[in-house]
Formats: sequence, C-alpha cells, structure tokens
Amino acid sequence: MSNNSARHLLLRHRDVPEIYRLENYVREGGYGTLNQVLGQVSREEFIEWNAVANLRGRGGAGQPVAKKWRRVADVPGQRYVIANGDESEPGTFKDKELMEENPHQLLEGVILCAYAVKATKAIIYVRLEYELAQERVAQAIESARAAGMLGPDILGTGVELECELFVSGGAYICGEQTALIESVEGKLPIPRPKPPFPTVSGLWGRPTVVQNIETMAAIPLVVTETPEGFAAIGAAGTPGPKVFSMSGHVAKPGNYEVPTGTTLRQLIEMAGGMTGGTRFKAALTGGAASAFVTADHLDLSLEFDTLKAIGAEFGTGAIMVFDEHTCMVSACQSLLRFFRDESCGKCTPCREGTRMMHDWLARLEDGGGTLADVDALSRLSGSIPGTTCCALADGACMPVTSALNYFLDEFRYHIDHGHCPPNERPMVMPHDAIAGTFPQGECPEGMPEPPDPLSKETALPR
Amino acid sequence: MNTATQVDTITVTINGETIEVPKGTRIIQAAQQLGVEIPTFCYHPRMLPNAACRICTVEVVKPMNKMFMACSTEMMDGMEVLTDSPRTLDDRRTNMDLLLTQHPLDCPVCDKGGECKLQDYSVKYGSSENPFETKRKDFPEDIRSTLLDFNSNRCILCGACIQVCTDIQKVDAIGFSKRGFITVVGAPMGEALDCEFCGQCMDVCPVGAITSRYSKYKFRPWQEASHQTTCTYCSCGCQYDLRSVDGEVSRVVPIEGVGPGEGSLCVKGHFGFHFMEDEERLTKPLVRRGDKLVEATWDEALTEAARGLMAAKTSGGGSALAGYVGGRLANEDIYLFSRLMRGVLESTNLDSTLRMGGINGVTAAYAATGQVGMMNSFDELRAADVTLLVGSDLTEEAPICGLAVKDTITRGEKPVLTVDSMRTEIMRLGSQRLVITPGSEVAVIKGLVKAVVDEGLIDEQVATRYPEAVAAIRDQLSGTYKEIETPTGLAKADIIEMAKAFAAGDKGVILAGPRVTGGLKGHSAFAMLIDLAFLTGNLSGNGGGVNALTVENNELGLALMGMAPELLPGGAPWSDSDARQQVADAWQCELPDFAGLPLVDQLEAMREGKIKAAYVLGTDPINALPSDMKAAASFGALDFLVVQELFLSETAKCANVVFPAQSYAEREGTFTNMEGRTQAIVKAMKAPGKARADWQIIMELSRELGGPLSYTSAEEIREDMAQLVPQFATLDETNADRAGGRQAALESYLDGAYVADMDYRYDLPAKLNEASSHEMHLYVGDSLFHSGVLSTHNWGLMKIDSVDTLVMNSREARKLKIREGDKVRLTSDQGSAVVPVKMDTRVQPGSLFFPKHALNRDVTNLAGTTISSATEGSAPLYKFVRVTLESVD
Repeated sequence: MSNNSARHLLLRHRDVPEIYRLENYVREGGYGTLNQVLGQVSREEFIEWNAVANLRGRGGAGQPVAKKWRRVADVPGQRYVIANGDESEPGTFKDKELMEENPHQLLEGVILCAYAVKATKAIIYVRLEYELAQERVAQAIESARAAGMLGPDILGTGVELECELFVSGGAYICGEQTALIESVEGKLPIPRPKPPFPTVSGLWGRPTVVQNIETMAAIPLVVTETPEGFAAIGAAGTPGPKVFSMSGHVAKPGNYEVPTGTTLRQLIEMAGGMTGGTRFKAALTGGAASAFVTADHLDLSLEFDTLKAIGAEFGTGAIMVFDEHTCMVSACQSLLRFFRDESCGKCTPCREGTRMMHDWLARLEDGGGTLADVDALSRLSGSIPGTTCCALADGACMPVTSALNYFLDEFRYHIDHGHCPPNERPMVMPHDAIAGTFPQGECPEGMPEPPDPLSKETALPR
Repeated sequence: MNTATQVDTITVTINGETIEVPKGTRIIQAAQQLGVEIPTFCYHPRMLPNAACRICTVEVVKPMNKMFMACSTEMMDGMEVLTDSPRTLDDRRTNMDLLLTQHPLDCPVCDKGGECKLQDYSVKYGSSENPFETKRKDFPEDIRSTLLDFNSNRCILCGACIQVCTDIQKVDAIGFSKRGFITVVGAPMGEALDCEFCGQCMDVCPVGAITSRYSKYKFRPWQEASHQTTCTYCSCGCQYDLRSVDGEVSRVVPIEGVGPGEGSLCVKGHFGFHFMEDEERLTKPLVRRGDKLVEATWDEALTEAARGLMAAKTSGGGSALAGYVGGRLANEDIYLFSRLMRGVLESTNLDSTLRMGGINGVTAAYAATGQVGMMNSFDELRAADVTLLVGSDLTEEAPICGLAVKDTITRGEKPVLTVDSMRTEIMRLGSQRLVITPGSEVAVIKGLVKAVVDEGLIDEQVATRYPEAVAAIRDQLSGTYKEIETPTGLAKADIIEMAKAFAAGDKGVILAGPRVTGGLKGHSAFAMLIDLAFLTGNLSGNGGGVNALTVENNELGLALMGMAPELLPGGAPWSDSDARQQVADAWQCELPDFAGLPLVDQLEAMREGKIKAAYVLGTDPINALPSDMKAAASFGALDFLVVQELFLSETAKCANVVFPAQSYAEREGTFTNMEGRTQAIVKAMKAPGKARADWQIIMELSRELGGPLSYTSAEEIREDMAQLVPQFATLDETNADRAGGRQAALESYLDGAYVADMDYRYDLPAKLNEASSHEMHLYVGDSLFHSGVLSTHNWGLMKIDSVDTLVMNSREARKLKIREGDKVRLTSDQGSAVVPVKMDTRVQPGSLFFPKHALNRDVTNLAGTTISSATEGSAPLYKFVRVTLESVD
C-alpha cells in the first residue's frame, strides 16, 4: 500500500510491519512519551507544547487542541476524553486505517490527552461497520492495560486512566461530538444545543474532550518530534503530517500521508493521476460536507485557512475527485440523498431543507426541473447555513452552493434538454464510500432508487 | 450588597431597548421582560431549551454579528440583539416555508385550528405564497391508543412532547423513531401508546399532531367558554381552565405557570371531566315513601328532613344526632354544616373522612406547629436538598406533588429517600430505598430517629438549644435495633445509612403518606417524623419540614373547619376551652364541653338506638367501609337519615330524604389543598335539573329548623369563616407563606406537653409482630386513574381503567403459573373474594395491591378491621389485610 517513500509519522505500519502489536510498537519506541510527559511535565506545560506545535483538530473544524483543552471547565470531579472514530464522512477512510493498523499510537495520544485535561476515563468510539478496527482497538486497550499503560497507576507515574471501546450505533450524525455523547449515554444521537460545549458539560454532564482519531494519533508526535519540530512540518497555519483519503476518479485511491500544504495536483499525481487519463473537473476536499473546487484550485496549498478563503473546507481531508464525464447535478443529488437520509431530524431547516434540496435536484437530474427549482435551491442553500444546531446542514449546502457557482450551465442544460450534457454520466455515490471508488450508472437510468421513505408501507410499523 | 448585584447582573439591549437582567438570562427571557414577542415552537418555560425548531432565531449584532437561537442562548454583558431585523425575518420566513411545504394544511378539520402556532406564525412570518413545492407526508394517523391520537403529518417534529414526557413527567412513554424527515413520534417499538395519560404531550404540542379522542371534533377554540377553576380530585389542588361549548364541557386546558402544578395536570384532572354530565346524577330531591324513594319538590324534601332531624333532637337531644361529611365539599359547605350540626342541632357527633387517618397528620402537626396541612409548599419541595418519602405511592396518590419531588431528582440531582412496602415510581427514580414489610412504617420511622440519635446526627444548634427535649427523645430509644429489624425485614445498617443521608442535607423535607397516618399508631408515627425533622434542624425555618399528604381534594378544609369531634375550626382541639368559647361567641350559641363520638362509636350508637338520626354529605360510608364495620346495619337502624349527594350512593339508598347537590363545576366556593392553599371554584356550567349548591341546601335546612344561617353567596360565607380562621381571608397562600408563627408554637410545645407525650410515642405496637396463617400482604389503596368512587362516574377514565384488578409481582405470578387476566381467590379470616390479576414489578413479592375505588367490594370486605386507640386517631385500620392467594381454574 505504501505510496511514498518518505518516513511515515501516522501511517507507521507502512514502514514497520504489524505495528498494531504492542511488542512491535514498543520496540519502535512506542509509549516512550508517557515516561517523558506523565508526571514529568506539568499539564499546563504539556498543553503549551501543543500550542507551540499548533496542532489543530483533524476531524473537520480544525480547532487548535490546546485552545480546546484550556477551555475544559475547572470543576472538581470526573472528566472524560473521547477519541472519535465514528468516521462516516463519505470518502473518508483515514481513521479506519489508523485504528486498524496503528492503534497503539492512537491510544498513546489518548493517554496524553487525558493527562492534559485531568481525565481519568477515556472512550474510543468506533464506527459500527469498522469491525476490524473495533477488534484491533479492543486488543490494543487490553494489551496496553496488561502492560501497565492503562489503569490506576500508569507505568508507576501515579497517573490514572481507564479506557474502553464504544461501538457506535451506526449513523452519520454519531460523529458530531454532542450526538456522539448522547449515544454513549444510551440516547438517540441528536446533537445538543451549544453552548454549553462538551468541554464544560459533556458526557453525563461532565467536562469532556472529544478529539478525532487522527488528532489523537498526532499528539505523541508533538513530543517525539518536539513541539517546534512538529510546527515546522508542512504549512505554517496547519502544521503537521496529514493523511488524505483519495477517492473517485483517480488511478490509485487510498490514504496518503503528506505534510500539510501539499497541493491538490501533487496528491492526484501521488494517486496515480486521473483514471483512464481523463481530465479533472472538480473535487471535494473535505469529504461530502465541503464545497467543490475546480481546476483553478489545483495548485492551492491544502490548509484550513486557504480553503476557507475560497469557500471550501479542509474538513476531514477526504478528497473526492471528479473527472470531465461527471454530471454535477447528479453528483449533487447523490450527496444530498446522503444528507437527507442522515439528517437526525432535529432542526427544521436541516430536516426539511436537505429533503427538499434533494427532491429538486432529483427533478432536475430527471429532466423535469425548471428554473424555479434552481432559484429555490439557490435560496435554500444560501439561507440554511448557520441556522441549525450542528454543521450537517451547513455541509449539505456547500456542494450545492459551489455547484451552482461553478457549474450553473450544467443545471441549465438539464432544464433545457431534459438530460445530462453529452459525454457526461450520472454519478451515484454509495452511502458507505469507504472503498474509494464510485460505481457509475448509464444515463438516463442511474442506480436503483431506494424505496420511497414516505410510502405508507415503510412509514409506520404495522 | 451593591457590588454583589453588580456582579450578578448584566446589561443587554434588545431592539434598542436596554435592560438589566441577571447573569445567565437567556435572550428569550430578557425579551419577555421587555414585552418583545419571539416566536417559539419547541421552547417551554419549564423545560431546558432544546433549540430544535429554530424559529426563535434572532440576530446578535454585538459583541459579534451572528444568528442565535433566543431560547438557548445565554446573554453576555453588553449584548445587542435584534429580534425582527431583515435577516431574522428572512430566516424565519424560510423556516415557515419549509414547515408549510410539508404540513397537510388540514386546518378546517384540525382541533388545533384557531389556537395553532403554525397558523398564527404563518400569518406573521410566512410568505404570502409558498415558493417551495414537494411531496407531502402521508402517514396514517395512529389512533390505536385509548385516548391520544398521533397525526404525524401535522407534526413539525419540535420534540416538545417528548421533552415534557422525559423532563417533567419523567415516564419516557414517547420518543422519536426513525430519523430525518421520516421521523415519527410515538410509543417505543411502534406499539400503541399506553401510559399515564397525563396528556401534557398534547398540551405542549404547538400544532394539532397530538389530540384527545375525548374532545376531538367537539369544539372550535373560539366557540368555547373558559373558566379557571380548581381540580376536584386529589389534594394537589391544580388550577385549570374548564372549557365548554353551549354548557357542555369540551375539555380541560392547563394554565401555564398557575397554581401548585404550574401547568401540569394528571390524567384525572385532565380527562376526568365527564362525571358532571353523567346520566346518573341526581336531579331532584327524593323522599322515602314506604320502601321507595320518590321525587319531591325542594319544599317537601326540606320540610321532611327538618321534621325528621328535629324529632330525633326532641326525643334524645343533640347527642341523638350524628353528621358525617366527605372531603370533596367546599369549605363554605363544611363551615355551614359545622354550624348547623353544632350550633343549630346542638350535636357534637360530627365526623368526617379525616377519620380514615388524615386526622393523625392534623393533630400531630397542630400540636407541634400550630398549623394544619403541609409545612412546605410544592416550590419548597422542588428546592429541597434531601427528601424523605414514607408510606406513599406519591405519583399515584398525588401525581402533581409527585412531579415536584421528581424535579428534585432529575433536575436538582438531589437525593430522594423512600421507605415503602411498594416499589413506587419515585422509589425507582430516587437514590436510596428501603422496601419494608407492609404495614411496618411506624417501626422504620422509629429506627430512623434512633439512628439520628445514636449516630450523632443531631443538629448542633438543636442539641444546644433544646437539651431537655433531645434527652426526652433519647430516653425512648435505648432499645436495640432488633425490634425494628424483625417487623420491617430491614438491616440496621440500611436504616443508619438512610438516616445519615437525610441528616446530610441542609434543607430536609419529609413527606408522609396515608400508610403512615392511616397505619399502625398513625399519630405516633407522624409525631416521630416531626421529631426526626426537629432533631435534624429541619423545623428551624430553613425550608425543610414535615408534611402529611392528604388524599381527598378538600381534606384540609375538613380539618380547618374542625370536622371531627376532637377538633375545632382552625385545628385547635375541642378540649381547648378558650378556643371553644371563641367559636361559641362567633356563632352566638352554646357549645357543650364534652366531645362527640368518632365515626366507629357513632355507628355503634346507631345500632344501639342512641343515635336516632344522621345527616351524611358527600361521602358514601356504606360503600366505602368494609362490611365488618357494619355501616349498612348502623345506618339502617336509624329512625331518620338525610343524604346529600351527586349520585344515588349506597348510603343514599337507605335515606329518608336525599338532596341533589351541585358539582364543583356548577357553583362557587373554595377548596384548600394539601399545602394549605385556598383556591376558588367557579360556576362554569349549568347544574342538572334542580340540584343546588351544598351550602344553599344546608342554609335552607337550617332555616326550616329555625336556625340563624343566612347568606347570599359563597363569598359572604368565606368572609365569616375568615373571622374564625384568618387564613381563609386570603386565597392562593400556602402554609409556607404563613410559617411565621411556627417557631413560637414549637417552643411552647417543647416546653409544655412534649416530654409527657414521649412516654407513649416510641412504644411499638404488638400488632406489628402478629402471626398470621395467611402468607400474603394485601394493601387496598389509591390508584392513578381514579379517586374514590367519584372518578368511576367518568366514562373517559373508565375507558382507560375499568376493570378491578388485583396487582401482583410479575416474578411471583410466573412462579405460581398465574398469567395476566387469570382469576385468583383471596381468602382472609373474614371471607374470600375472586378477582382477576395483573402483573407489575411495582408490587414486591409477597404483597398484593387492590384499588380502593373498585366497584367490587368483596376485596375490601376481606379486612378484619381494628380501630386504633383514641390517641392514635380512632382510625379504622382495614387497608392492610393478610390473605392467602390461590388460582381459580
């Protein structure tokens, strides 16, 4: 699987075989940071290291971890740390590989994070469908506990931490941190109003820090590479190594670890270029919940701030590449079907908005749409962002807004001609786009539609 | 002081108007203070914000420019908010457009039409034409539950119904299933809803997604007449709006923030509004002709009743007369009845349903605090640091008081300690529990006091200030825990742990239910609880206290009007000659210095011919009392019986004259709830036939008898009552508001009779350890869906719960191979009864529960009634029965 020759900091299993085994990980110096940090460096100082390293969360929002940890409420009693491995963003499969192949580095990060925020309980929350990841994480926890890296007195440092695996209930929204917390509490995964943020009132009402798997795995690097060394990797605004999940119309889809600041063009080249030598048309840079970028942006340095500046997202670092034959209306429709089905239903704009945007896109794609549909799409995708409890609806609007911005002609073509432009094929993304490739349909028939969720048969039990 | 306020308040600006609000105030609360309306669907003032509907969006312009939800956003100092800026209105319009695109717009046939938020806001905030268009939902309406229909097409999924069920009612009967735009609200697993039917989900629904089958299609809101009144069922005294169309009750609507329940209602108050219109209501006076009761005019009936009562008085004096009254009458009725019996007919044989145990809570509390009723208001219950609940299935017996206690558990996260022979709902939610052998409440209470004394848990100030009283209690507790462990089935350590938990709270509240005051040594048991509160410093005005829970809605009115031979109006004992003289002066009559007979002695005197005539109001002793109390024979032995009732009760069937009374909805008056809060009832509908208000009937009878009673309204009577019992002068004030005199009363009690009272209080009754050949313990008590016999006249409540079933422990039933609905035979020393069974984990193995209201009296008649001593309230004890259970094939 190894695609580049440079030393891997996150995907270390590509350099060291079977590093998911404790003995191999320890032999390679794993868990060394615990003796360096636990009880040796004050919590405040360790947080400061992370601030110097400028480690930013890899789950999507890109919040500096030090800032989040400092916000943990200074109240007595239980605190929690949760590693969020509910990776459900279409096109994202980096956490899967990290959990399956390098779970101890993740666990080491969890221990350091818990130390920083004085948490004595940690949860590694793994997506329902990731069976191998669940197995490997469970094994890692068990072997680490047996070796004294977890428990009431970690490696004799007097630091206490218990860690357990929690398998998600199986919904996209479980990856939203407050919905995740609700689901750990045994409730439906419905995001909570914020504030209060989990750092003040999280799991069971206690201060809780939720970090993405990749973020956790990067924490030990702040120690091993030194904070300054970490900050020097990649782009200054978003330093550190980053795993990008390349999928779509590239020859070699998969995970690629590169320094931040790498350009889209470089990543596509690493992934073997476009499939069949077709031309690049567009890409989503941060999973499904991000905006399309076009050929104009191929040389843009991939960072949180540069992407934000053009209205796109760094997100999870999942890059979905679309070639010249992709029908952008169908691509939007596919994405919106995902968001419609995965909206938890709490907030009106998201619940109703994703559904309606999907319906109009479907109508346009089927050739029955009018300019009124495009107007409605434009109005809704412009007014929904910022009106909901979590970011799902904002994310759902981004591909629509950007598609209308860059590919309005294709929408018009559908209205005028009743079908996709010549040489374009409708695209249906599977909901669990973890394989990295898209199935493609033939125009005008696409993939079979799932049963109508509004029909009487499926609506109510009995 | 000044600096403290500065720290705690912030200055904010809404639509250009600046206001100072406490820190933590949310935008919507500040806006309400300024009278600025912000639309809401899911927001509810008594629940934490859920921020789901997103209609309350407002624009914050300072310190940052961003849209925020008004319901959930706490304001910062200097924050500036615009509630109707163009951006705000735009977001709201989009939200409304989205909702209206999927809503069925079936307003003409929707019960909510006319009071629907979606309708109102669509006028205010929606587009004039909907720019969106898509397929509408087409779910079939879920009409499987007995009472509540769910229309998922109308539902806007704001989630308020689920939140009220989870956060306020705390039964989690409904929830979301599925997700996204196909989410539906309903009972788990798609089952039909079968819950407590409090109906609050319907109340908070902003649209017509949840509707009541009992009111469906019967009203349009604008046609309804509206009357705020007081509920007539339990002693919580909830306020609600009784709505009617053309004089016929259409529904009961709670009033947010008003009354003890603050807008919550239980199933009885909410849906038990049919008895007033029941066909069996008495509409005309009846008089006995031979062995028949025939209709008569009021003049005939009144003359006949006066003649009969007067004949008894002439032949045997006042002591040849007896009066018995129920706790559903209004204060004004009870007051006039007291004056008629004591002043006009010169009888002291006056008793009431207080005798069933409530009397013990009254006399013990009066002795210690000079007050009757609860010491704490429901608000204080909500604010308690620790709550001890003994001998009450609170959520069944007084559901709204139960909500206040539940509030301390889930919102306040405060410990609630329960002692009961049933595994009650509060016990399941609470933090510590002691499940005891049925009927052993008095022993546990002694154990708790002992633990406080032995474990050094006595409040320091109490110990220093009242050394003699503390020593007097200590002297009574020298025995071992053995005498407590054996009858209760508890371990010493558990009792000590609970005592410690109670003593640990700053504000400790004790609630004692009917299984304490109406149990073995009911008076002593409640007095011990007062000792417990005293020792732990909870009688010092700290917000703690001891509270006897009453059952009937105006049981406290009975107490305040002195409706027992040993009581005077105001709660003072009859033996208090000064107080007695005061009453005599007020009524301008003579009051004899001997007390009359309590109920059980009255019954005996009737059979012996010493009591020749009786007047019974608003209660049905022949039906209510177990047969071994011989009520039928006693009333049958009378020369003359007058009964005043809503229905032709069993007692009324024996009467010589029956007066048809008006229900609470047909007349004016007041009820006093368990908090001591006097609240008005109003005439909301027309009475059936010639029924009259109780006070009018009593007054007219008094006139026939040559008495002085003459009033033109209930209000006028209340003014008179207030002369004697000042608390009647003010409505809506609780005992907690009148706590001022308590300390002085306590001091004088401690200095006076206290030490002497001790001698007897802590002796445990021998009956506790009485052996029986019958293995099971049966308890006959109150249930949620009914309240005495009155509620069984509601077809609505009967539809929910009509079968008189014995409740037994599920696991035990399985062991005995008894299935739900099977019939079993119960055998006691008194006889046997055959009843169907249902299972519930609420009842512990070895125990059985049977509802008190049941029309099947065989079970009640299994009791071998004993009468407690005069010091313990002369209460008939018949609710705990030892029985043997066998299945019937």
